[in-house]
Amino acid sequence: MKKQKSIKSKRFNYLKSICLSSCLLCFAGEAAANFTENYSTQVYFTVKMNNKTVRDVFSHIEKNSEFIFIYQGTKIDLDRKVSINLSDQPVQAILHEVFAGTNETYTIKGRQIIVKKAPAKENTEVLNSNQQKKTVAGLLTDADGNPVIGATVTIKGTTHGVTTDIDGKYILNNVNEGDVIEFRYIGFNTEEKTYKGEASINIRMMEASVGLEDVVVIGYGQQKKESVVSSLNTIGPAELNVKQRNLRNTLAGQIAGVIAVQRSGEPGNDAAAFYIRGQSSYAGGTSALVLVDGVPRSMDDIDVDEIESFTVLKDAAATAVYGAEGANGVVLITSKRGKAQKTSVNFSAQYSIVTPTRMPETLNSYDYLSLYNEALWNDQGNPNKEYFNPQYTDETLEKYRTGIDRDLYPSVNWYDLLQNHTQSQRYTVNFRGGSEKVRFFASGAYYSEDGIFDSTPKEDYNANIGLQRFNLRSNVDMDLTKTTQLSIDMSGQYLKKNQPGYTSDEIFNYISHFPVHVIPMYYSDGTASDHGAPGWGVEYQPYNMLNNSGYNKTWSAFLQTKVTLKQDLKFITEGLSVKGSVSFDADFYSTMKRSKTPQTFYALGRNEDGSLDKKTIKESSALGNPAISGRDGTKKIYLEASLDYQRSFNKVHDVTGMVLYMQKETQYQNKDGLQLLPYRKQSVVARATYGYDDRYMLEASMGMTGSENFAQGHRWGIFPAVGAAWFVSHEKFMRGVEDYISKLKLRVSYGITGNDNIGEDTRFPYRENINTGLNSYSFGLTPGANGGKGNSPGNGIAEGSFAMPNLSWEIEKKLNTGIDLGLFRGRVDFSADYFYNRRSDILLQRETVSNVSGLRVKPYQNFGIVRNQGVDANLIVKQKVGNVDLSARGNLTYAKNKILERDEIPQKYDYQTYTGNSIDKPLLYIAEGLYTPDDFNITTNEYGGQTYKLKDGLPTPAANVAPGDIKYKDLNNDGVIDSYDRTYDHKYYQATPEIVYGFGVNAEWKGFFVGVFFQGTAHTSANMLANNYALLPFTQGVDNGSGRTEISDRWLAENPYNQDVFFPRLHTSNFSHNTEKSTWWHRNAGFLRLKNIEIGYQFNDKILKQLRMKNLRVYLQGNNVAVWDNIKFWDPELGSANSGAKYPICSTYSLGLEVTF
Amino acid sequence: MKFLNKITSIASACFLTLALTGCSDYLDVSDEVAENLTLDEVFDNPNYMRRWHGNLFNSISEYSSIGKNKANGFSGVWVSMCGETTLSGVGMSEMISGFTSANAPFQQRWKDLYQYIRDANIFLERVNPKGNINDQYQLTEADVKRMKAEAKYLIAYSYFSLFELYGPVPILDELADPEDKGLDYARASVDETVEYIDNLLKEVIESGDLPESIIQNHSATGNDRYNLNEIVRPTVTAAKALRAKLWVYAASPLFNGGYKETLDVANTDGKKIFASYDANRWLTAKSRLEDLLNNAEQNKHTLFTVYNTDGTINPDESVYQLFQNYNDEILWATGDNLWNGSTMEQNTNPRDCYTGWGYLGVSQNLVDAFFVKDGLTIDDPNSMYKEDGFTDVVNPCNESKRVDTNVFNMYANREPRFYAGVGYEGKSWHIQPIGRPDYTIGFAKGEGCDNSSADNPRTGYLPTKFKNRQILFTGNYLKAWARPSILFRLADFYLYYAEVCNEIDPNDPNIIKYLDMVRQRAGIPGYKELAASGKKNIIGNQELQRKMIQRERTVELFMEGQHYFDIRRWMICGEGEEADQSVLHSMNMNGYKDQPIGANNSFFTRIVLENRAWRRAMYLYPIPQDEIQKSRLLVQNPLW
Repeated sequence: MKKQKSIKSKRFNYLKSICLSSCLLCFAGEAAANFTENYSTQVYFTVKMNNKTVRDVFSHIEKNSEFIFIYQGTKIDLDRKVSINLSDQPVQAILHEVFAGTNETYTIKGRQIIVKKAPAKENTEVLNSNQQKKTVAGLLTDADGNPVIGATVTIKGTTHGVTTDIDGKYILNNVNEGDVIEFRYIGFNTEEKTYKGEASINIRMMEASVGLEDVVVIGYGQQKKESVVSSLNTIGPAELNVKQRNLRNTLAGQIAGVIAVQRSGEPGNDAAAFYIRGQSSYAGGTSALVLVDGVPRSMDDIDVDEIESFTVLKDAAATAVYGAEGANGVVLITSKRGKAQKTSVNFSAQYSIVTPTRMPETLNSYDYLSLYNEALWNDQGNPNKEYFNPQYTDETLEKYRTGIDRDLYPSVNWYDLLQNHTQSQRYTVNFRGGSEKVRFFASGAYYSEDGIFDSTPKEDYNANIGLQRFNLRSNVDMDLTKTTQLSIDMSGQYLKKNQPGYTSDEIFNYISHFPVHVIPMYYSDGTASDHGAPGWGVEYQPYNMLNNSGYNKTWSAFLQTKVTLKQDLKFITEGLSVKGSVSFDADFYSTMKRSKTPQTFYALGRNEDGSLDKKTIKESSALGNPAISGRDGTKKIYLEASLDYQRSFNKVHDVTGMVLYMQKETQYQNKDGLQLLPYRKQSVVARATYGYDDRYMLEASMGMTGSENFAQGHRWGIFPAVGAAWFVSHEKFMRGVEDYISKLKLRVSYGITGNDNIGEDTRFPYRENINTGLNSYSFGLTPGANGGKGNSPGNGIAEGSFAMPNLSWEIEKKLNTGIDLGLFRGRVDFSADYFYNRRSDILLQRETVSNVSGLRVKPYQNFGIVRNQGVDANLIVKQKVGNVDLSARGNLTYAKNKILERDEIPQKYDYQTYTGNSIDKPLLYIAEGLYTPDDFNITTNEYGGQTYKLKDGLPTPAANVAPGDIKYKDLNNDGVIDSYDRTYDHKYYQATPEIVYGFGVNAEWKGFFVGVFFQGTAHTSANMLANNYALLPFTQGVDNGSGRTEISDRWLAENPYNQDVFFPRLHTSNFSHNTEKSTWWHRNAGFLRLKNIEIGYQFNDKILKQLRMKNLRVYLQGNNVAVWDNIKFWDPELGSANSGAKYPICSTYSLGLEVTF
Repeated sequence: MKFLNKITSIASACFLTLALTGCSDYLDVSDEVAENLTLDEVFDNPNYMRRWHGNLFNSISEYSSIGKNKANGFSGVWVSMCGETTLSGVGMSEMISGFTSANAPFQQRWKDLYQYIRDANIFLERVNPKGNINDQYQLTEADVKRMKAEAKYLIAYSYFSLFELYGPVPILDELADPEDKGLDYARASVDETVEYIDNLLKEVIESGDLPESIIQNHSATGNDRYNLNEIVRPTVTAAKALRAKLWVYAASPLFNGGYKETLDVANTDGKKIFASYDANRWLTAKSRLEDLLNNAEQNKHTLFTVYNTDGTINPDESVYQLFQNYNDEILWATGDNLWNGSTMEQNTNPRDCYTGWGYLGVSQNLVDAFFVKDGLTIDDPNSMYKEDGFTDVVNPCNESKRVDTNVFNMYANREPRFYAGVGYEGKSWHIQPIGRPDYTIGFAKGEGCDNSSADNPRTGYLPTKFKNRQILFTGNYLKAWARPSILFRLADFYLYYAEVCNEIDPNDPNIIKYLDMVRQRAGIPGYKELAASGKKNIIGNQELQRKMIQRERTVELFMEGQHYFDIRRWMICGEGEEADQSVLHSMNMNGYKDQPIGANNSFFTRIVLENRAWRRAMYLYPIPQDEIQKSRLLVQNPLW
């Protein structure tokens, strides 16, 4: 909140503090002032007090009503003795008595009684001497036309003002022409109007630049937005309006600094990879610390409607308080809380249709088998066709083509097991309200989603994939005393999942590669079919997996509780408070499985009577009894205690301080060995800030973390950070340009953060360990029919890891500089940050230890340095054109890392040195195209079959190559293509994008609104051949796979010079020369996606009043509507994605409704 | 205000308690497992020491797993890698599309063997007698001595397993210290490697801590004769056998100056690690072999032979039963055999004979290597070999010695080892499936093992060596037969001896003597007899004798894991050479059996199944490229 030093009015200060404190309590800037104006006329008191202090009287009133007293200024004499004897009188009567004959006076606002000195004389005179002044009335609305309640309307430079009522209306009297009327409300830009004698002035208030909040959430606390020196971004519910099940997938492209890519579309397993400002370690952890309401919790299953704000902390000044956990950035999610207001009920419903964006297609059996003949023909050197003996004769192929007998010559499209669309539904209802003393937020949500499979089980059970989720939350804040606040938060998520005997990813995997020509889905006589030789990759048959394998039911319950007690310690000194929190979370899941195997057959041919000659492949087992197929449980205990100090001195010195202690523990139920022990951490945190005149801000913070994963004496580390900001636009010299540059702030911070996350599997890496579970070896043998090996001394014992007592966490130094810029009174809001992070002491297992040493576990060491630098930026523009409100927003994140030091010795060729490259940059052969017949000395045999010998001077690869095979570049010019010809020096990137961006436009006209949002990535690459088997036919033999329709884009012997193809020469087996990681198969995986498009209507006040609603909104929303990319075969966001054999990403079209009562 | 004070004091109390107590022991989570096992404790406990010792035996390579079931450097992958057999579907794709040092398959030997070497060295350093007579795990002085000798033997064996694959390798003379920043090792020379292994074995042999033999009852026959409970624990004979084998390798062309490209290979300090030809190596090999053969004779090792009632040799039964039970020919074996269960039996069982995958094939190259029953090779003009028609062939493996009619005469008149080792088109099964007395194996299009399923042998042959002839996967027939997996056997060393003698003096009568002993047991005329009958005379001709010794080894040790290493140490893999690795032939499984022999669409036509990506570099296996890339001292083998 911007301070107007010119204002001297105490009344105004009071209003400001009301607003500010309500914001602090509610974490939001929405209307806090839904006052029940006539409360004072509802309560009556009987006061019989003799010679008591004023304090006693007030305390009596407080005890017997919901009134609270607020004292303006320090000179109120509460110890003055009074005597009162009144029965059944309104509070005014009592107060009149109390203040009679003093220069103190009071005002009643709802349940608040403000006590203050009477206005100074000259003011009274002014008021009295201007009886001819005019009265102005009006309405304050926000951009959406909603009334702005509780806003202040004052005459600039005076204390004279009013607040708007529940309808956003105000009446201000005693206005002179020429007066400047100021309209202020938290979260909105202050508007000024020079009064020209109008009877009414209606103002549409513009929301303040970013978000609604003037207070932002920071690590272990909140801070005035203007005081922030660190780099953080917050989005609120407005930006989170895409209501998908998983929050992470909604965030991509929404927040500067977040790099999120969704690598699967499978319901329940579709969480996006999520990094803050990219990765800065190639060994240890890179995932951000996620805190929900201050407690480490998963963000995956929170309903969007429960969320008040989503904040990303990016630089050291913001994250150093998290000590050894801060290096990867921190995500803070706060849930909505109650407000002192008439209870509002919010209901929303959404129905969505979900459709895969791109679905793979397989060749039919005729095309696939013809393709195999072609591959065979290729392998034989393309002899003259009359001498070529195809494995599948024309006669056989014809049977496949005509479908004359689909039992023996099937052509199955296994994708028929999928539905074209699925649907999801989402309903939420929440209640928000409370009195001055008790405030609550309660919400419930239901979400359901169907799986994509078209399951028709053979027995009477449900094997369809389905997910249902129920969310419940209740956040209650209670003022136990005027200075004590107790908060009780409880939330829970309950998930039910139903699925066939296999996971959808497994089924999808088999659907995408199961051969199309071997068996039908089931035989025409109704019996279950199975691959005749159920070997690798064809052990399961998709139709049976889906319909004939029983089912799984999983229920998961996640429960979160938290109790916080906050005590204001102003009796010790103003601005001091203490807070303690205890949180207990418990998560469980359990999967019940009923398995079943059908008796399956493989048809060898037809008997003479025409029936199928079948052999049994699998014996059947009936639908089994329920059995456990998986379960786990987790408990988390979190304790926090803190001492806070916050005070302004002389209105120019803002000081805050915080000391905090935290400890937490996570423990799993169903793990092995050391992982059963609790995971613990302790921290002591301190922070101090100083702001001068809202122009200069300084901040210093420190996190001291102890981690149980290291040896005693190496557990504790201190992570300090400092930051400073200069609010240039608050300087005097900036006066006069406020209309153009309304905000200009420069920030810089530097600090040290840490990372001790080396994966949950590695516990106590400093400890020596003996491996007692090695294979046992049998010394003896009993030969013969019932014999076997024997006489084993038991499981083998050998060394495990070695004692490494000096291990410690990774250290990341972070430098951040940023600028916040607001132009044209908030119409343009821009902020940009440059960051430079350097991670050192990366905790890794030594890599240059020769295996000759015989060490079974590579020793751990703190080794390695990575630099990560980049920019992130955010822009919002708002403009009104005629009746249309337009707003546009965009953000960009660019994070480029570089390995500076790694346990690597100088390589024979510089281009093979990983050090100096980005993390996970692939080492590739450079494909120079395909070999052509010109590259070979060709000998032709009597049948026309050709053999190829590379011409002299051409580098020789390990394989016997032929035209159409990939030609690699001989980088070291040694005449041989071998592993020394792989390089990091090429144009492709790692899988994690370096650039993520998003931009969108919203328009609103008379309640109609339209929005589009685009999202994209760049500087990312995908290996199209991540899984040979999924993309290339015949790599596991003709009967163990299928072919994709894209294969039509291939090299052909008939046109041997054509290089412009995707697939090189076909082979009948896995020809590893062509499947090496090379530039041939790599593609730029960047994309631009029309992520979201929305059309809706917001009903206007008139209708709402008739409907007795506060808000009613209907909308149609499309998600993942279109995408532009280079991958084409599958959704580019999947990246390498098992070469497309992955549950597809879906587009969603939703119809939704939101109502508030 | 009382309430407020209360709260304040509670809160501050909590704060202080947390801050103080928390710091002290909250983070000592790992104390809970502080009593975890340490190295010192392992070597203070006889049971743990035995388990440590037992783990060392995992270093043994065992070649019975030829399929896909256990494909690593310690298994039978080398059988397929050198084209004795093929696999279904993709075949041995590594040999079809070639490999580089970075993606060479089956590299487990490098890393794992050095781990076992370290484990064994730690064992030698720390093992000690422990426990009293009442302790079932008691380690007596004698136990410790024997186990130490075994550990040394296994170190020697591990280095040999590295040597046969990679050539000379780094020798560790002390335990690596994990705190050491260097941990980098240079390769020793061939001489140093051989000498190191030789000395270790000498020490083991001379210590007297190993038993001479596992025969426990000389008067017994069958399984009772041997202490089969400890068949894998090395004997003096096994140590002498390994020592002899080591020197045969050291003397062979690959390591004895025959691989010209190796002569330039030098460590970073300039030290050459290979050496030019030295005839003395053959002499050492000879003396080591004689030492072994004497010892084997003392310990009553003989070639396993089954005699007919009339006292004549029954070669068919001899070459079959050799692999079904423990016997006197075995010098060292393990009970760890993948043929013991159903796995390998089913992998080589015809698809149309109850449960079978039938996906291992025998290459035509190997089929052609088998002798004709007259003792000659198939290309010998004097031999009775023909491949121009069809005829009746007695199947000696069949329970009733069935006469299979209309069999391609390529398969007629072959030697017993051929019939025992190869299942060919038209051959009856050893037990005929119930109700199908005329069942024969068929690979041509439309037949039971044809290529209509991915599980097919691709060559037109199934291997039948090692298979137990009582097994049939139906009804009450036997489904499994446990048998030893032979690591060293006498015939192998007879042939080494013949080979070594031939290199020293081609006129040494022992050459033909030992060669013929192996042939005689296999039921084919020896070279003495052939020379006498005038059909073929190789005696005294070093070149011919060398070729025939090589051929004999190829046939005798078919599928036993030796061929891959033999053809490399002889250096005969090149194009057009004896064991040409660049091309693999087979019958034409896209052909029909009713088409004329040799026709394009006939099954009975030799075709090129795989053009293999043989390169000269493959004489020595590449050291894993990532090892080279993380070492300053380690040099790669030539041409990689």
